[in-house]
Amino acid sequence: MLLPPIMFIVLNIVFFGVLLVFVVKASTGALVYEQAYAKQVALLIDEAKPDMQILVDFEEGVKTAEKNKKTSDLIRVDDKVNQVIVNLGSKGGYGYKYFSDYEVNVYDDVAKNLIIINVGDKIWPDISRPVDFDKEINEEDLAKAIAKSNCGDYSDLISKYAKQYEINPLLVLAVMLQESSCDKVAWSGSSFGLMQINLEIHCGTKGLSSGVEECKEQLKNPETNIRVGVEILKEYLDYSRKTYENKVKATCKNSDYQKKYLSYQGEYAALRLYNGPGCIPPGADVDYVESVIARYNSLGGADVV
Amino acid sequence: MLFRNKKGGEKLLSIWWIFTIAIVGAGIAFGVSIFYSAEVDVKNVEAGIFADRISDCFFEDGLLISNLLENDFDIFQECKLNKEVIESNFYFKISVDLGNEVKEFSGAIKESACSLTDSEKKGCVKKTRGIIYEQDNKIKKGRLEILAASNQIGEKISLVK
Repeated sequence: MLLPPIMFIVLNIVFFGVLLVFVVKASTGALVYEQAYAKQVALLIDEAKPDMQILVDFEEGVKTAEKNKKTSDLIRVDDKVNQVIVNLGSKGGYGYKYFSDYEVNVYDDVAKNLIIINVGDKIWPDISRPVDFDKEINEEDLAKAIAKSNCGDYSDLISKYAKQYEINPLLVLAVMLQESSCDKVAWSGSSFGLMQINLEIHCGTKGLSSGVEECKEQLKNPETNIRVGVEILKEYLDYSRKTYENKVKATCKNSDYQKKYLSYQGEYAALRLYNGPGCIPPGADVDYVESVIARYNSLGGADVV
Repeated sequence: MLFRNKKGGEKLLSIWWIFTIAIVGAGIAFGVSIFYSAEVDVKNVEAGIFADRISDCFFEDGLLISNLLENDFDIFQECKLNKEVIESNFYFKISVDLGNEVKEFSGAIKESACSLTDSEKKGCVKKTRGIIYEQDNKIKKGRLEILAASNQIGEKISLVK
């Protein structure tokens, strides 16, 4: 006779228990914190002035990410669209835009539960004055440059492949920052990973599988991605002037941009080809070369001859 | 007499109880989901920062910057604002009352974000301040009014990995 009331009480407790767990999970879910941190960081960037470093307490974010088994790349900036992206374990994360036109670098220090925001002025190089890419970059220079970025995990790989293909390591780092902000799973819809390797163009070459899915899997490995990216850059550097001009003239039909592209020499021309010789925005970033050179200079390569 | 031999107490676990509890549960779950997936509204704060930024970049040592009065003044370049972000998410209207003339800048119009006739509307920030400027070697006084609004909505990112 006592069974139905006991069952009733037990079922009620189970019901309210499940409801409580659901409410707690919803209120401490990744998306809630992703949104809060993305907006907080974007607003801080907008309030900041050049040469400021801002530290933000990231304890709740780190805890949430750990619950979701995510331990790195929790926050980054996509500076092509001025967007702060926080990913604490939900499918893709949450993005919020900042309106400041500064050079912004944001990364997480999970060990210290901090978000580190560096804000600086954009340095636009005078394109008519050549940058010294032959300047010798030693390990100390590279370490200093890496410390200004969130690419610390890849310093050995950058150093290794820059040496192997005889390319300035700061240039490799600048390209990596420009392409992916050092996000090893960055995906544009056509290009993948740290160096944003275009699957359609490069799969089936440089040791990559011709099957797109298999190729993408290979490119998830940072070492493969960096090696292929540096190899592509080297290949473009070795192009003859005639080949470069033909590619630009065949692809970029706008006379103003064509003139601009044809003024590029050496590393500038190789960088143009790395982004592609097209000149129709938004598919083509017509200021790509200037953006990478600005990064190169701000990373410590600013010795202009 | 009416309740004699009734066994209502034994019918606690009825279909109606399950129905009621299912309705209550679904209602709470729906409400919680809606509440926590809603956007945290920072538009007003953002508009305030935007207005302050514009206001700050118009002055140097307390004086209105001289090139502001020139026709080719580029607010995006001078105030280090990203044109694409501003044009797609913000609204601003700036009036510089110089006494004998009023200079106006406006851009990135998102009419839905802010109505000019109702500056108290949510999302809009209005800032006014007195200005001192130099013209023809004379120090003059005027008034600056900035109306700014943000219409930015965050974005859930979907990555294909």
